[in-house]
Amino acid sequence: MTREKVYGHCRACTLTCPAYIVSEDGRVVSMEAVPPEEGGVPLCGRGVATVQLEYSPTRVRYPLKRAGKRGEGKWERISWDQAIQEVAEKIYDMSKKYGPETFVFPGRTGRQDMGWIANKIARTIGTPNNYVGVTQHCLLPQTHHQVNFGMMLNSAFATQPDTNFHISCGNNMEYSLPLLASAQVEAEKSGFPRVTLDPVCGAFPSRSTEWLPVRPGTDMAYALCVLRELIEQDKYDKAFVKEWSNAAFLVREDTGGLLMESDYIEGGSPHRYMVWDAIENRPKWWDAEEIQWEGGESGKAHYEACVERFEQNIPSTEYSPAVLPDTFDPELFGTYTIEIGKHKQPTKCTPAFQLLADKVREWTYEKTSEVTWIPADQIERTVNMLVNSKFPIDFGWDTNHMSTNASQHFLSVACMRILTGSVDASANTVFLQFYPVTPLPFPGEWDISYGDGLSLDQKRKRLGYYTHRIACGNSWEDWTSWHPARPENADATLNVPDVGTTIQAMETGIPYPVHGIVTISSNFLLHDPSTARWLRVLEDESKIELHVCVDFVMTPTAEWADYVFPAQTWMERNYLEFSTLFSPPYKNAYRRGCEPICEAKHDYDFGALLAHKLEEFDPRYNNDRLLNPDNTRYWAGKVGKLWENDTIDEERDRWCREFTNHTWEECLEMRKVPYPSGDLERSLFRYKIAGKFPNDTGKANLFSTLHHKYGYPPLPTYAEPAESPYSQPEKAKEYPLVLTTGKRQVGWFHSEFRQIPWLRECNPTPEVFINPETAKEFGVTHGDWVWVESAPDHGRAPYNRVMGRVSFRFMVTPGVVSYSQHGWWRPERAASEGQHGGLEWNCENLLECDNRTPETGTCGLRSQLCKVYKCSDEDIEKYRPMITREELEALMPQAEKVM
Amino acid sequence: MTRLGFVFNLDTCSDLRGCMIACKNKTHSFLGSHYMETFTNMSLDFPNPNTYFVPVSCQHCEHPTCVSVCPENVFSKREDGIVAVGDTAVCAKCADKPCVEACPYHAIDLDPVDGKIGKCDLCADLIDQGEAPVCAAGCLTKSILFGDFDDPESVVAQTVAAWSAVGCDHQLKPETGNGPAMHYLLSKKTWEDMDRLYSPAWHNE
Repeated sequence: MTREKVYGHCRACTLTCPAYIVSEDGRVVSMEAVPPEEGGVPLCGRGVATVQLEYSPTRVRYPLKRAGKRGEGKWERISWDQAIQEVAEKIYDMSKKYGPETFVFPGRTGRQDMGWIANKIARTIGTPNNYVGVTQHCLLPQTHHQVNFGMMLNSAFATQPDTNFHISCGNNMEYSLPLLASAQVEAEKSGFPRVTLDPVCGAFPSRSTEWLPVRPGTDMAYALCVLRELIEQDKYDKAFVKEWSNAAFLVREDTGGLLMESDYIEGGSPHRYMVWDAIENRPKWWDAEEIQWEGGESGKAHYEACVERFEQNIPSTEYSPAVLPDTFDPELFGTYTIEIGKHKQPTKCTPAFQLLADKVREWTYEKTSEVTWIPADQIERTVNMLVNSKFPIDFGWDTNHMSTNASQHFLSVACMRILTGSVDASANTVFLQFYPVTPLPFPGEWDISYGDGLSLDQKRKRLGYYTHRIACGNSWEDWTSWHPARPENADATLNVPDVGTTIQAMETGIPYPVHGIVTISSNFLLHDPSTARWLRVLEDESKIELHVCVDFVMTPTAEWADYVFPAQTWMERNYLEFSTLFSPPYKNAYRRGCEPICEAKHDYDFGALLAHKLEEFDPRYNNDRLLNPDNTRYWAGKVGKLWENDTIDEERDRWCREFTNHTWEECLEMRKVPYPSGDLERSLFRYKIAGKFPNDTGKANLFSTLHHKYGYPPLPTYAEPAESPYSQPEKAKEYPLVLTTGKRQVGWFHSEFRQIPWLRECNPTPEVFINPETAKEFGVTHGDWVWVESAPDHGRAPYNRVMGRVSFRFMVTPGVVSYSQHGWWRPERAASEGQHGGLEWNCENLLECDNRTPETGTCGLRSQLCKVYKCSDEDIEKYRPMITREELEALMPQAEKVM
Repeated sequence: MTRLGFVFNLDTCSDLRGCMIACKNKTHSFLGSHYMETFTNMSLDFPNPNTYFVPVSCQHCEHPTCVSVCPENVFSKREDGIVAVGDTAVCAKCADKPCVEACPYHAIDLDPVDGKIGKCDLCADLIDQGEAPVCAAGCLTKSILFGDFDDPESVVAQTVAAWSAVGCDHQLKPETGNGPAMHYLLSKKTWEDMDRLYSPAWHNE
């Protein structure tokens, strides 16, 4: 018996921990932690247990073609050649008939490889509709930072011990990213104050200094109260606000936009933003092009030198001379009359900061308490803890945004950051990238995906582009003009279609018909609202003409496809890690631990086969004219094919030779591949080095210029969640409880791993967390099986209820139901039983997506209405909610060698 | 003397359940069994719930009830303190399974399929090779310390001494007189023994 140990990795979650993959006679038997002396980390339970995925009976083994009606579960095994041929033909025909934009790619969690490859396949087909729904689910809180700051900031997960103060919403690392939970526990020992807003008091809130039992969807009200107190108590970071934000920029009363020199001086510059100087009592400018305050030194030459160094992969370290001179004191308050235009129209102009102060004045502790349901004394106590804390402050404000006020919510957080100077000021407030100070010597996923390569006309067809202008693409046109550095993570962009517009297009053909779905590593029926609407279009072959799915597991979504292609797990392929959460100055390279089962292929190889087949129909599918040199930073000017190679390893070898001076095999031997250029250690306060922020104004946009330009409130404005007891009191008569979803349980990653026996034993069913007093009102208690039901409107009927088991394990804000977690399906069920139980416990059934955040298309996934009532004995009999021993045994890894 | 056991730091245990899976991975114990199981102290207090987590395994008692009640001598107390598990093939014939009820910690699992019992044996085979139990190594928050309580220099003995001095060292159901080897440290919440422990895990329902 040959026992082998290979340096690979676990990719059961985003963290991509190194791991030794242990195999016996070529069969994976376990994952072992890489010892710390070899740069490893301990493996969490999910990492260890998901070895049971490799030979799970739920794996897709061969390409499958539908042999009955969609969802019936009847499949015919076909060859890769036949499958690719037929799918390519359909894609070609449908593109000619409807335009390539007829294809949408549903969203998926960002676990690298899948992300950029799906972008690349979408690019090949020519559709701008990749990654539907990410604005509903993922990364939007971070990508939205780009609106204010020009680039994303790191997420603060309370993992740094030297933190002054940490405030977060909904932190669930112990279940979602356990390795970070261990860092949190370690960091806690230094005793920094930690305030946590969360409707449910799980592990993280229970060990926080204060748990604030917040009403879901109202967290921004708390933020507005913080802003009020920072201003009222004069505790904000004056120096940062005045010098490094656009808080002092004058806002015209007539247009609501910023006052430029060219507005009121003939021949004045359109790049000079006007500010009232308190010293000389007159307007003075900040010149965004010259990088200069009036009366101060220009930072332009210094900046251009930074750019030159950036191009040579050399970081910059010296501060810019473009500082605020002593002769200039930007006024943050007051109103000033300026004569504007040819006719010298007297116009009131007010510093953005004054406008913000006016806006937040009403958010007293009492009002905030009424809205958030947090007791007023607790709000007062915790807000004052924050306001009186040393700055900078860590904001872990990235997980609760799935409400219909998402964008304004993000603006309130950006304002809190700005008022406390918590931007690139500490490990937990740092930018992921900073152009042009920190070089990018290796292309990011976005670059190699050619996701920016479509023509502007075609991009503008993206669903939601003009409706949800901040996140679905329109404002991306501005953002991309600010600087050339693109996010390393291909999914970290503000140009993705939203779910609501997508379903509407499928249902109605407006704005154009959407007839095709290409599902790559996505179980979208388990994470996109509203299930009934999706199933109605999928049932109708005149609406959805083609649904292709690539996955390693036969999910409920796969059961609704026409073709299913088998994908490889992380144990079966080599991996080069592009983007990570913390951007270390090296790339990780991991080996495969075993041969792929049966005919499973890497997602790249699927894309290459498809692209090369499409190329046979029309050579334009894979030639150099598909590259858009203006947008592809690393490949600009280079002539080559979009799909140069057939396999992922060949493609990687090309990049490695180009950017690391090593072959891919050499990189695999090295395990950690350092960047060929010098020290890339990130410094802080990089805006001081550059002299400006990487955006339009060159300052942190307290006043969001993008929001103003695209017709949205530029300063944080509270909006009540669209389906709440206050916004819909009539509906709330029958559905009085606030439904929230998305809380995690151990071992899962969204909809993944319900079939892993060792994880399913840990939580066999969803947990429905309700406050015991609330439960009593509804006649239910701990351990009861209940129906959680939403209103039937917005197309939710007939699936607008799901089963769950009441749990008092964690305490909950009264009046709230937390269905934990999303993404539940029942692999122990047959395809004929609701496509492997994809309907019984799927909280997406309850969620509507007609009401959306105007700016981003985000729906109220974590904040809608419901009611609960006990299941009858007949229900229990019919649904058999508790998995049986036989069913679990049947999910154990298959004993025979599969090939 | 040697008295092997664990110290569980409940100030840091965060319900990651890595210990549960590490145990499963090593023992491949039958589905529905959890020789190590993380419980939640299910406090109904609002708004200051006394929520914390308690990993419970066999307590490797000084006076193990299972040893005395088993008619077939399946269990035995080793010199090093481990309550070992012998050949469980005989369990199938045992009608009452008295050990299951007798253990005050409910540490013994019964497989309904083949009638055999199973419990934590402190990874006796690994210990005999000089290694540590896998649950301790599998804990990402380093909440499980392993060692010999009879060695005053050991980390477990010293930790217990330090926490004991401030009244934060606890044991499960000390009133039973079993003399459990395991210690539980808790300072951030109020110790409630096994009164309110709840686990959502599946047990062959």
